[in-house]
Amino acid sequence: MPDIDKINNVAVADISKLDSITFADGQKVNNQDVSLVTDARVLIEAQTFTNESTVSFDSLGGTSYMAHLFQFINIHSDNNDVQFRFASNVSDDHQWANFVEIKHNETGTDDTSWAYDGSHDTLLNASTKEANLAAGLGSVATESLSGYLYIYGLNNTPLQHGKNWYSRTSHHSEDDYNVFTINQGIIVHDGSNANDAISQIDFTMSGGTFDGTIRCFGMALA
Amino acid sequence: MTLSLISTHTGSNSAALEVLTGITNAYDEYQFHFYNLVPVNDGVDWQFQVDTGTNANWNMYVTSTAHNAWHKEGNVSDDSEQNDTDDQQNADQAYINLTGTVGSDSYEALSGVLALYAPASTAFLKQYISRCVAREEDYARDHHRSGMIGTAASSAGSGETSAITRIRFRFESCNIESGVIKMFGVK
Repeated sequence: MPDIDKINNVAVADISKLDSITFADGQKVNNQDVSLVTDARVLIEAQTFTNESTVSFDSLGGTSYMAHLFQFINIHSDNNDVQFRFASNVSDDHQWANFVEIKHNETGTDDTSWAYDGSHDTLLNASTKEANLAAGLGSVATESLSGYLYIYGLNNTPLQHGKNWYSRTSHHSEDDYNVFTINQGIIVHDGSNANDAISQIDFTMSGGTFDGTIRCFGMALA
Repeated sequence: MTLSLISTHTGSNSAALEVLTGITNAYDEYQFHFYNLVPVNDGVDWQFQVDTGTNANWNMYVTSTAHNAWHKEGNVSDDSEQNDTDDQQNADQAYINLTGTVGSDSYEALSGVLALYAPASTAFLKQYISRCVAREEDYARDHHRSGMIGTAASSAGSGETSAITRIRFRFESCNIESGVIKMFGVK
């Protein structure tokens, strides 16, 4: 088998890395055996924004990703003491979630163990569109949130029952605590086991606008 | 592929493992993966600190949380709790405990991941999240941590946000007998 001079019209010598190659694309590059990753994370979309009231990822439909990973980098609220939250675009969807946080303030005078916070839980059939990912964000210039959210089976492929999700975030609260929030839940369609595919996820604050970077990765099937 | 290996650091009776290059504005998230790190002595904490490159004293200002869950062989004990001794207030300027005590027997070690967000940002305090598992004295422990790192003393959100360029890992009071740390950039 002859060596390959070009890949996708790019000289092999000029290629420093190979992205998004799946096992179906082949097993040799330049006549060399390669180990092709079959469960890679693929960047679908990155948004860096300022003063937005809603950040939408609206091209999530029609894919076969098993899960979607949203990465939060320095999410900064322009209003003080608000909740960072998400929802799907399906009108009959609502959230059923458990909200748990642990926190410690800067001066060391107060800390709390993991605790369910009923005020941020969402109940089955409560018809709540949004699930809070973190609460009490501060709006001082240096205060922000970082972390991630996984959502499984948005497109009902291969998971056809319920959209399970979980998140982990660390943030600087409006009252100068570091808050570690663990949240998990299910996006429930119409209060039943019926499920529509979800093509859009929206992020908002409970009030006002916000800044930051959110990236969406697809977790590829083998 | 969005997880790019930047460097590998192998412990061999090492006082610490330092990452002195490679933490830049190239990535918004750096992940440090810990593989079977073993202390020379028994019962010590796994820790880290950071610095700005101009301050090499490894004494940044951290406010953090700490939570441990555990289960002892034979079902003798299992529970979870917040751990005051492993969290920090801003004024401590100490090494940050990523675990409780780790054992040094031949079958004991710790593994896990630390995610450090946007270390090159000069606008915000630096957030981190970690999760490690470790074994000591027949206990399997699951350690959850989060924190925010400032580069000067807290003053209600000002003067705390120089870029972080270096990170140092160590056991609390002894050398690293063996183990590997890999640093990845996430994009």
